[in-house]
Amino acid sequence: MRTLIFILIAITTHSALAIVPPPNNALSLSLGGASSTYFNAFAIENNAAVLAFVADEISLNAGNRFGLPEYSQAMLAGNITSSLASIGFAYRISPFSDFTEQKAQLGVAKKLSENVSVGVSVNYHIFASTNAYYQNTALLTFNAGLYYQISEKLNAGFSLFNPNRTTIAKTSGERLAAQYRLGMDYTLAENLILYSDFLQTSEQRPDLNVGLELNKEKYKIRGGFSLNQSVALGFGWQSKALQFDVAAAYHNRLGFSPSLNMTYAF
Amino acid sequence: MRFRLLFGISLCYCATLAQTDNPVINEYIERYIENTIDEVDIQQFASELLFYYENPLDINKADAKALFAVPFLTGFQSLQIIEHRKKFGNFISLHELQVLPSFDLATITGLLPFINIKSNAVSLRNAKQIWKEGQHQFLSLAETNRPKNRGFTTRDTITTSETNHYQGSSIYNNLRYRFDYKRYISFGVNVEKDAGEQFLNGSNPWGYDYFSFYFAARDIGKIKALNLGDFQANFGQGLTLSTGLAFGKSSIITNSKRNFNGFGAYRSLRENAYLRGGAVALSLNKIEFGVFASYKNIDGNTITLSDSTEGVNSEPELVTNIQEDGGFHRTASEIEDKDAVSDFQTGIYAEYKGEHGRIGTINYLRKLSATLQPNQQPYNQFNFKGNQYFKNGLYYDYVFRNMNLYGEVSHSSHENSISQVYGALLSLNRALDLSFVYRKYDKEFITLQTNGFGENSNAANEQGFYTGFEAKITARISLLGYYDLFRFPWLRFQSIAPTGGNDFWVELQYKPSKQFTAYYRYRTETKQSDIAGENIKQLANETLSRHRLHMNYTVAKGVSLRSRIEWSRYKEGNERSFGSLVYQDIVFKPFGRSLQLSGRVAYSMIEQFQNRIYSFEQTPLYDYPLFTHGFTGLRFYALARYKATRNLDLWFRYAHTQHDVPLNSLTQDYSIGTSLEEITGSKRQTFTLQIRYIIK
Repeated sequence: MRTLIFILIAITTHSALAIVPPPNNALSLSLGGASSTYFNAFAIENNAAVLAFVADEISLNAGNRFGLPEYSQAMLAGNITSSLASIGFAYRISPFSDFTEQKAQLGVAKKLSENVSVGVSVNYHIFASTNAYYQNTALLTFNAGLYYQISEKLNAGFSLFNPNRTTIAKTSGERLAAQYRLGMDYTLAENLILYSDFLQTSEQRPDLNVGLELNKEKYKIRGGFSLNQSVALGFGWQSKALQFDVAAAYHNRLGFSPSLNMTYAF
Repeated sequence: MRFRLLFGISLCYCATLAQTDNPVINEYIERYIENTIDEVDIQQFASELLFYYENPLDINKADAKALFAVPFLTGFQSLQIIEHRKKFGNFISLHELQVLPSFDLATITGLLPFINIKSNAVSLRNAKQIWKEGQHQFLSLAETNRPKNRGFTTRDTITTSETNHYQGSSIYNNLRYRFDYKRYISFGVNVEKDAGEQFLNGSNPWGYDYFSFYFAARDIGKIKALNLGDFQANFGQGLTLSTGLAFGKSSIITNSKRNFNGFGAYRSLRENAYLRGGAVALSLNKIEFGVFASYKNIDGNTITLSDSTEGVNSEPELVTNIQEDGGFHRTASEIEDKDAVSDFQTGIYAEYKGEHGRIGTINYLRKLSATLQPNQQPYNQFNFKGNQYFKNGLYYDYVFRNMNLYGEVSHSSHENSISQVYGALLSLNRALDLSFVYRKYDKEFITLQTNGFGENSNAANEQGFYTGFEAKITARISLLGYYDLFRFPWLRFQSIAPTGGNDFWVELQYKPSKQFTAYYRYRTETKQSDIAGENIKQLANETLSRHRLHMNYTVAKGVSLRSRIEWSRYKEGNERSFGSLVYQDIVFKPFGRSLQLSGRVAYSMIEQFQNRIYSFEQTPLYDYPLFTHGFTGLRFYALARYKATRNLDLWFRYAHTQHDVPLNSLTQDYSIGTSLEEITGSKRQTFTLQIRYIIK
């Protein structure tokens, strides 16, 4: 039964075997998934090029998907910027009773000019499964991104994940999905930013994620939706170097997904 | 009854309702109705819009309820007016509106005919003066189609009365008389005969098939409303009682809120959608209360249970459905259903009005002469059954700074079911307005006379969350739209299991000048329904996506053009189909205001009816403006309006539809429509003539 639920989740959310990154932290989740241009350490997965603009920080995320105790994740992500380049790293584990995924990432981003950057991340996946079909597998993927500050108000980002579609199950030749994202953010007002991501995952229909972030002093309120039938809401609180963010998304068929971030900037 | 939209048929030649010469009103009507697939009562709608045109609202004196009720003001604009008045007092000039975030010069210019800042003191003197100072309006419209459809051709060649056919002539006609004294007193008479209905014989010995009279007085001293004859009643968010008009989701994101205003005059030609009797509402300081009683006959499909021993009919009678909006009485079976069920309703409401909003309750009882017993199917097994019910609702509408909170919770006596809706309008700043609505409607909730917000207007078997937004990117560019996520907890028609879906709409508007405006719109909606043709029913996703590019361009004084390209894609499972439409309009006023000519040429390519595309046409006042392009072929029309004298207006319209005949179909075998609506050939023509005479 659990396997069935897992397969249902995987199919419905386009995150087959967690290959295609779902919203990987509370900020991204609360913006409906729109995070190609969002500045934080989790950009290593969302758009590695953004790391070039992210302040040095380390962030921990804990999340659950659809209220299923077996389907939770923890992720640690960090970013260090030097005069040469920005280095990002991340580790994620998604334990499931019959299936565990671990993913370690190392990324680098470089500003090409004041307003353009590129980035790439190499990802090492470990799949441990009790299922005879997948068994235990380890493989490498990569993702790359481009970020462009078009104007003071408008920014754009493009990222691609696993464009070569790495093979995951040798017996069947099953491959990991590829994903392309085109994202933009627009500053509607001094304290109001609109985010959007257009996603195309191989063999899936296109998706659109839209989110809005409102800043009020130390507080942030976020809301968003995905055409993949979900809506989301989130709150943030920041005090000097420390920041907490919580979010919850509701999927039309699968239910609630909570997520929590704790970030320290240094 | 011509305003009924029957989208289930293969071709929809709908006719009726309203349009005016005012571009703001026309644009508003189009934006409201183009996304509405339910029956649309444009006559009532246009009457309400024109009411503001003829009786501008004083924005200094109007309270929050009255401001929110103005159709041309968005909820955000109303919010800002209220907030501005609180901070700075009354407006000195209407141009002062420019300081408010939601108003720019073009918006204000469009609104000028409908609002003012002058006091319109009530001066009810005596009946003679009211009669003299009021406006009398006579209106008549006639319309016919050629060639005749099967319902008429069968009648012309009939050999036996058993043959199903239309019993009257193919001419549609209505007559309307209306008197208005400012905003305060109005009365009128409306009569109508649909094409196919008899006139002065058979079932209609008095001539017309439908007669309606109304008298309405409002805002006179402590009398908030007084209605006699036909009237409508709309309260709260439309869950408990709403006999009038409400629309679904549209590009006007504040449409998610109902701004109902209690009792009102019924000026429409919808033949079952009114209350008939009397209603009075009084306003005593902060308390407002009212009561109504109605008795009428409505159409219904009745089954009389026979007593086998006596051989005579005995009670009770069953009715499988009652017509909340019906009105066609063309065939023997339709005539048999006419006025088959007597309907008694009575109710009371009370409201407390504070500085920031209001809270109210509405309670009403309805009793039918026959027991409603729908033909039971799995999907409708929770629908109301019986001959009597009552409903009670509690609603609120609260304004706090830049936020408007509203909602309603309603209880119906059927299985003690509850429906509820809660919404918020937020004007965050000059750049962004937001709208949120959460609704949860029980599957057992009684849907008769409701107008709840949602995928369907019937306020049952639905849960959903709606988010609307309107962002002003620059002075010339706006981005607006909504996202709606919904579920149906129980089965629906053609859905064998509980389903869900979402609806996304985004529109980019570009208004560089008064001479040129354009917008691009994208909408995609995904739902689930049974896969057609399968013996074992299964659900599949069906997605309908639409792209539209529209431009308005004034090329010279008195000459304006409108162009549109629209494309639709329908996907069910792995099946895909496409549709497209392109049209060009021209509006030409060669001799000032006395003559106006307008026309359109449109060509559509529609692979299947799910890809149908709607377009808004220029029609005579109150005639139905929405046309359904559900075919591949040509459509064009020409409309002339001539103002013969100061008091007399004439409209003449000719419309032509021509289907492209498939290569594998011989011309003489090709037909349009089905059943009695079927016509032979690939062409159809419509002739419309309307006359209006005003005494003022």
